[in-house]
Amino acid sequence: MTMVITGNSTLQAEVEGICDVNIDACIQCGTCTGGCSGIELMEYGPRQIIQLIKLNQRQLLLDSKAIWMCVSCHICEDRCPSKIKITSLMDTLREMACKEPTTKTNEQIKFHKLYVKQVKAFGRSHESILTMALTFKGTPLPPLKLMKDLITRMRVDMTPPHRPNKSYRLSIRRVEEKGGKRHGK
Amino acid sequence: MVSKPIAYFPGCSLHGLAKPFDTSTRLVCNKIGIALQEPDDWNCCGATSAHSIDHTLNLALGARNLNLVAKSMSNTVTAPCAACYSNLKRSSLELQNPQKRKFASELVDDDLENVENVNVIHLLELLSETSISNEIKASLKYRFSDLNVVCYYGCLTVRPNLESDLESDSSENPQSMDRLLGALGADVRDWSHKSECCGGSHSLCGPELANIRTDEVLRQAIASGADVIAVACPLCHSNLEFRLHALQARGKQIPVVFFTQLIGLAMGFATKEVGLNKLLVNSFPWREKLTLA
Repeated sequence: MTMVITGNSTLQAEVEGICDVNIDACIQCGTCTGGCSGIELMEYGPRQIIQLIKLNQRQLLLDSKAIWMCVSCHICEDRCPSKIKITSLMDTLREMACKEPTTKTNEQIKFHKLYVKQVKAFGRSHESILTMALTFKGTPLPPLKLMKDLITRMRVDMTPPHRPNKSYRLSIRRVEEKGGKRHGK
Repeated sequence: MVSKPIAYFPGCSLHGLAKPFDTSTRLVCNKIGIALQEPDDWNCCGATSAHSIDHTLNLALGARNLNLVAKSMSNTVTAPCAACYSNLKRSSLELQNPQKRKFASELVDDDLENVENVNVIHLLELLSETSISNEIKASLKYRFSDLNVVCYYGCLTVRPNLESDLESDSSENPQSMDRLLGALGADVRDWSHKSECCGGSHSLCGPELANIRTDEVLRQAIASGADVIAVACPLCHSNLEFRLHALQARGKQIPVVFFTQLIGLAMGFATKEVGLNKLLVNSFPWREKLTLA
């Protein structure tokens, strides 16, 4: 996997059709992987991910742990000498994985789905309600001592969740109707 | 006095765990005459979950927020939260594309007039503007002495970073917070992890990774001789604080403060007013570090 491969990858065409990236611009220098904030827990770093896209390894990538260990820190993209928008590429791969019926759920998918659900309902995230919802789905509660210290320091949000206006609720309905359709790069 | 209105996007965290960031930001801005205007009914910026799994939702959330700003008295919006800043900026870059704008306008049912002209800046950029930072210097009551600080910008206060944006801070070695806190008399340490990531997006859904990142940041901050870590992001703040809390029994405890809390203290506000009493590591001899300016 050290050679730069160019050929017909339907996966490459697929991701380039969704987000604004030019996979062929990659020179495989590995600067992205060198600065990656999730690399310790990834089986493929960003350099290899780009190579796997060229090699049309769709299933391998969408089932990988690597796409979920990306923390969206933008460091790879910031340093890329070819200006490839790697952060957007990782978002695209995650969204594709979420849409695959065969994708097994994990802590990150569970979290993102709960978060999105909350944002759709309240317009905003509410830390306390989110933590309770996560616990309800099997994520361990934060340590008791931590919760106690946060409560005594008045750091825990006890206010009711935000109630978004009607235009927000209509926007969310349109997102749900139109979501997934292509809308240009 | 500066007295220009500016749209203020606090984001969800500043209504919760990072309330002291909101309180101290408002105090500092009010003191120097910046009128922060929080748009009504702003919504989540989309970070990190919306952009990770639902791009259409992320586009609608960003367009809706930027449109509220476009219709307000200011076409500049400042966000104290690095994740909000970064994602709003990403949305604004995306909405430069007419095709995207058209799709977003269908989603939010609005023509999105002028949305492409909204300028998104982090709070650090706002307070670093020459006239504003001079105003801050002029309103200081105290100076810090013998206070060693590291400025921790985190990954997203300075990213995405555009070459075309000549005014913006360096993403590899940012200086804006160093200059602001240096002007308060703090001994600002140079260190290696200024704009490295703390793993904050994974603190709830991938703690193993978040711990690797926070441990590295804390180790380097302490090795640089810092007494205090100053941050400009609510996610960095809670992530570092929680990790220190978990390590309470064996590691050095070091206060993690919002940079606006330090500015507020030097302006003469009490530790309680800027919310330093609400931090998890809240015993620090602040009074001893302040001398009359």
